[in-house]
Amino acid sequence: MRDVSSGRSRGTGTPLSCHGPASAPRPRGRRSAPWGCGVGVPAPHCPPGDTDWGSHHSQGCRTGGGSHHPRGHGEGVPPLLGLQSWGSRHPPAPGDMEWGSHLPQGCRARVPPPHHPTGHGAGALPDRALVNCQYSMATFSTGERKRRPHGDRKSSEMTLHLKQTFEAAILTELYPRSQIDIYVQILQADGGNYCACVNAATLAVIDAGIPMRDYVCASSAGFVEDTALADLSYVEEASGGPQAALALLPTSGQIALLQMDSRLHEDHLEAVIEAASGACRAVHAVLDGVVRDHVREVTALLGD
Amino acid sequence: MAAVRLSEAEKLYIVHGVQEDLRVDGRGCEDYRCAEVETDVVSNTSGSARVKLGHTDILVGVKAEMGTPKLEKPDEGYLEFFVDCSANATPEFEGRGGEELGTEIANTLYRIFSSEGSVDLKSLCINPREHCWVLYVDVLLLECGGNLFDAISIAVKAALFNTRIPKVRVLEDEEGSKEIELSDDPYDCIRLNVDDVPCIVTLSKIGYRHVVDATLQEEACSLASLLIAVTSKGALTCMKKIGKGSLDPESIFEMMETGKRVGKSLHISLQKILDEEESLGTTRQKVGFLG
Repeated sequence: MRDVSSGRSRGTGTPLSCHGPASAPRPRGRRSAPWGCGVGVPAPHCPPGDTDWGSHHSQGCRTGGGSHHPRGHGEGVPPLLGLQSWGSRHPPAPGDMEWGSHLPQGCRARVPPPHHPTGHGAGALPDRALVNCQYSMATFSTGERKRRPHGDRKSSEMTLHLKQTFEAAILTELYPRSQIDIYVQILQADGGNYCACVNAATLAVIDAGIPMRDYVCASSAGFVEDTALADLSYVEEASGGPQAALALLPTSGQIALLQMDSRLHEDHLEAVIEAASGACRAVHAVLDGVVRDHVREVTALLGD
Repeated sequence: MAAVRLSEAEKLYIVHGVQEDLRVDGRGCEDYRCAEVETDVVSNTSGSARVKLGHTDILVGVKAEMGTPKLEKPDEGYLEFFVDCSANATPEFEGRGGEELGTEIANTLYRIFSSEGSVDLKSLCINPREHCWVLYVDVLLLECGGNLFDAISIAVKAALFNTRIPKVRVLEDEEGSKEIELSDDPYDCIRLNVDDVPCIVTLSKIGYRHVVDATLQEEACSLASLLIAVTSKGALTCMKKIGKGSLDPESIFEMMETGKRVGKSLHISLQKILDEEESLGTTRQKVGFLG
């Protein structure tokens, strides 16, 4: 049981429980209390048997968007430039994921443990958890410096989309009367902001140990000159053609969010959705690999 | 700042330890935590830096844009600061929660850089009274682990060191209208001289002694802190007392002396790292802001 008086971070060498996705049995461990739950404050409002504060390690993976490579012909599934996962930082908070490549697109997500609902918003729901998202973009993320006040139209819309996506995926019935926060920050924008956020947030939620139905993988897709393109970069998005964003639960093939801008003939819709789904599955393979590596590493550290 | 709750026993432990020059993580009172500084992490900017001081994580991006000089200083460019406390750092910063802290930090940065000679603003002028470079320095707080001001000032100095402002030429027409031409070579740029850019040293008073680079727990035990901005030559450009406690004038002088000493060595180490990074050039292994 958590040591009530200790609030000090334990420093290195205390890998704690690792979490697989969904409902794998989780070894409990002691850990320094992350922010959000305070020091020594026992877990309130969390359903019995399923509480865990999230692993002490954070990890992310880095992939490149398609923007580095010339499109060429064909579907243009994004070549994943490089996959790097890094382990153990000890954030004071669990569930911290970073997603994105070094150059074009970078996004960071953080998920603190489920907690009592804070003041703003609807308040506690009696049968499930409230999913609260916040999306923000750094001022230097785009080519042009733009100061974005919190709560402007674009952030609110993105926030709503993220909320909708994750409510479909997270098993909120397991956390009644609690609130799950997902904070996403875009550090570098190069097209596909929403998709990068969803992918980062998926990893963050997994790292926090919050059970989900499936990974949520997202990708954008467009249609240019009779070819469906997956994972559009900023230049491709700005060119004004039709673009779709798709968030998919890969194993079941269920679509959590589908959004399309501009005009597209319905004959082409299928091709576009196919392209996006293909990209989502590729992303799923990457995410899955990263999570499994991380779990393997942590289990090895735990010495089981 | 993010609040951390400590029991009385823990506070006593910290305070007694500090009296013996032994802090919780084994440092002495004048030691900084292990800091990681990396420049050129964001590609969209003219200059950027990331600093990780213990758990505190700061990302600074500098963008150079053309603007009109201020009326009272027609032959100088200027700097604009903006500090964004992201919700990633603490849930308290969600929505507009971090605005107050952000404004406080931005105002402190403005005061520090308002002193003459910290940055050569005349080099930012293109055409007196008409065009000048405006450097927008955007600070993003990714994680709050105590000692924000120090980390931010180190990151700002590193980012300014890394800033590359494109060289422009002013062409004058027969009618007298001026055109600005950007040089063709993307590597042709002017760099800022950051030798006189000050760094902030925060000294927190705990018990009878003061500590440099306090963690969140130590900040919770300290009633008053002194923020001083020190240049590499040891000159003080700005001083501010924060916190709800009060300080004895003698302690203030002592803290100033410590601050100057610590500040000078901080500048030396920082400059060494920046020069090292610079000399590696493109062969440098980049960790980036995702590391």
